[in-house]
Amino acid sequence: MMISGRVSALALFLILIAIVMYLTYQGIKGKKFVLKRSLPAINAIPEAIGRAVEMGRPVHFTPGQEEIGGSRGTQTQMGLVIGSYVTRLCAKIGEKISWSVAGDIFPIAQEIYAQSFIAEGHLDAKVDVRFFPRGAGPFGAGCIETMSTEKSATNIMFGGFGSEFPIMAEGGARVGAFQIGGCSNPTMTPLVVAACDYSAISEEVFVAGAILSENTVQLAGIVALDICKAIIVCLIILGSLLSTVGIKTLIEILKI
Amino acid sequence: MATILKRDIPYVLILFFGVVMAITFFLKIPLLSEFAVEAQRLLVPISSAAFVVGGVSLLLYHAARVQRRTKDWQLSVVSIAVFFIFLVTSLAPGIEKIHTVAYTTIVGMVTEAMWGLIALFMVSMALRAFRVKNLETFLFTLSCVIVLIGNAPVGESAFPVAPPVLKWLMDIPTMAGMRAMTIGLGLGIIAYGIRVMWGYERAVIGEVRREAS
Repeated sequence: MMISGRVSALALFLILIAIVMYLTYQGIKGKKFVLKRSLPAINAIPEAIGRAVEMGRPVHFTPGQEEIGGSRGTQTQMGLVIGSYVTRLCAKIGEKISWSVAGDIFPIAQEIYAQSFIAEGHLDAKVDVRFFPRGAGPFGAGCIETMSTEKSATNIMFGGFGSEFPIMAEGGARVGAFQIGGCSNPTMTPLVVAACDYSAISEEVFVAGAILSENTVQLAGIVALDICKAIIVCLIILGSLLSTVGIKTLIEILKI
Repeated sequence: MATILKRDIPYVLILFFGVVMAITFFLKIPLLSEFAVEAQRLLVPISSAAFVVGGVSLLLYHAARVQRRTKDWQLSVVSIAVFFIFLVTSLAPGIEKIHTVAYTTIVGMVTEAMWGLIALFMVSMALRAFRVKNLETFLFTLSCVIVLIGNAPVGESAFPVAPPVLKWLMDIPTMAGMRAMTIGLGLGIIAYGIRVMWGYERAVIGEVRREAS
């Protein structure tokens, strides 16, 4: 019945769900959750948009070219969450923003763009979402073209990026854009950190949506995530110590 | 009615498929596993429908450029022409060979040429990334230099210490960092999945939060 090697993963999954449910219940009862950490990349977004307004130049946003159902699709989805926040901020102060997307997220991106402007009272805003072919080369070149023709003052990139990231980041740097990037792909993380003024890596990309919402129930999920991380760190330290003294019991249990 | 179609039904589907996929990941239930495989195949036609919307948008964008005679509008004429040439040759029966030849001789060549141009951007980006600004960028640059020397054929003879340092770098700090990020990534995806299934993350169906901005 159980797939071999996934019992410990199931146990951790159930623990995470139990903690989320318990903290969510506490949140519904009125308990306030205060996060001890902040995300500089998210906090810098209003500043970056303000810079674009001062310079009289537009903002460029991209959630990448990964398909929504692909291996990095969840990162693309989080990119859309952050994109809606960025677009609403731009709509609020009347700043121009253009999106560069590829593949099957195009209709969703268009809808989010339009809804973000409608939410701020701009019912007839022109949807500026550009569709480019998938593939690192064509998509990266499309982003470069958009940023160079519009002279974007701010370039915000959140998504599951591959080798198109350095192309886009260089395109942004050449037009002097203030760059904010977020990517959970471990192979691209060093480039995100090196190329952007502010960056979000690993699970920071996934907690951004909850932090932006300031919703107690969503924040409860982040607290649960931190508790699970602490559990895993304890297991790693315990496993290392036990292995060092020759006890393999914990490793055998986790292999089940 | 619009709310039911645009919000409620998608959420019911997300919850249903989310639970089915989670169960089939942990448990071996033949019927559910077959259903999960079939459900994943549904992604192909759904994704294809999005390309139709993308194609229409592309045409409208370039048609507007041609109509307004904006800068380099002639390139938009080429884009529209190429779009229709490839559409017709790929759909019309009997002329598939024209499509294949056009693809390999035009698209293949253009793609190669574009990669050649983009390579300059990659090099420029690498130089920008290797610029030492603080301790983190110094460590990053130092690691990159060691990896370059360690992998270069001349590296071992010129710097005998480089290959063992490279091996240590790749096996210990890099591996530890990658595993930490992978664990964080996995937990982040689970937490995000729970938020989506409970209806707190709405962007995935194109809905924007109204309460906060």
